[in-house]
Amino acid sequence: MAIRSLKSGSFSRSTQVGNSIILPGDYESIATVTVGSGGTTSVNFSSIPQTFKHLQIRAIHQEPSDTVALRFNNTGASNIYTVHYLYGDGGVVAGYLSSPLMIYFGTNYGSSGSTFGTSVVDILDYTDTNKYTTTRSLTGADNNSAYYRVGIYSGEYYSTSAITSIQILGRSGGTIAQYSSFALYGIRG
Amino acid sequence: MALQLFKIADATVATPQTSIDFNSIPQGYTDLLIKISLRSSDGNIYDGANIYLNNDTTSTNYSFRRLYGNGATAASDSSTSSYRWFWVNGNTATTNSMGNAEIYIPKYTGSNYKSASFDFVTENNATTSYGGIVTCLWNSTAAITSISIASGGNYFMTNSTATLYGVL
Repeated sequence: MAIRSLKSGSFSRSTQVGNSIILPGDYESIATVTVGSGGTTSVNFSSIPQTFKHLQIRAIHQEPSDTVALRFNNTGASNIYTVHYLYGDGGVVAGYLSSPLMIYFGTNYGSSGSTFGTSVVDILDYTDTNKYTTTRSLTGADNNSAYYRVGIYSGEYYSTSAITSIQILGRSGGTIAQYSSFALYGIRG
Repeated sequence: MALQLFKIADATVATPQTSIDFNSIPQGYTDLLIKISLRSSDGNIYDGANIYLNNDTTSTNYSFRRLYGNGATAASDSSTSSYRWFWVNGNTATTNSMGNAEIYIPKYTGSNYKSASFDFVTENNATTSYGGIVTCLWNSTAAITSISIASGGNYFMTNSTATLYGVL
């Protein structure tokens, strides 16, 4: 195994022959869901460990009819989220959604066949009960045809509750297509 | 190899303070990454925040180009003499709301000028809220040994946080 110096950050190998190098990182997989045949209307991460500092979702997604979104703690009230966005699709657009029922994070309008959108969503201080939870997502999609978009989305969850579950769904309740994949990571702090 | 992050330091603001500082940064990583959750004491919805590398406060050593939106319109700006690279929530944004930002600094020990990429969002329960992406440059060949996130005349509010990671 490798040994890391906490002071210098440098690594050294153990002298034991045959051992593979193990880097004890602070970025750890919590769970990954890949959508199966027929698709699904939601992907759920429940019982999220409360031992990390931050969360990150890395995803490829196809929901042919609409944006991909998330809810925290199974909450879908109309006054609990807001969304702001900035994207480019040949032009540049900025906007705001006042009561979206969920946080939009993934663009993929028009995705079909083998084309998928991609997103990386950062959820900072998800266990901190002193402040609301703000999300930041970098997302993009290109179907090599009429649709292409890249942007940054923010969302806010107006609750001081710790995040214990995340539900991913299509904005309009559509089907998230087979082979879409959502990986949830914990980041220690 | 899978993405490898290693926490170097984590800071939480207990009482309002003018900056969050990371000093004596280990030189053994490839890149640096900071995850930032901030709220400023500024009396507006949003506020600019500064990045000082190696305690260099000479503005002409810094530059940036930024694409941003404010909830209604998109725009871009740039500067050849500014370390005010990103925006955070101000103190008239919705109570308990914080900005969410990330800065990535590749090859921070290298001998070239130091480039960085920034993406940031503020949030607010109203139309106006700023978010954007920024490419940044520090005109110095020195290895980065310290990073200061500074409010530039205001304070970062209680429960603001910043976490510095080394990347391999």
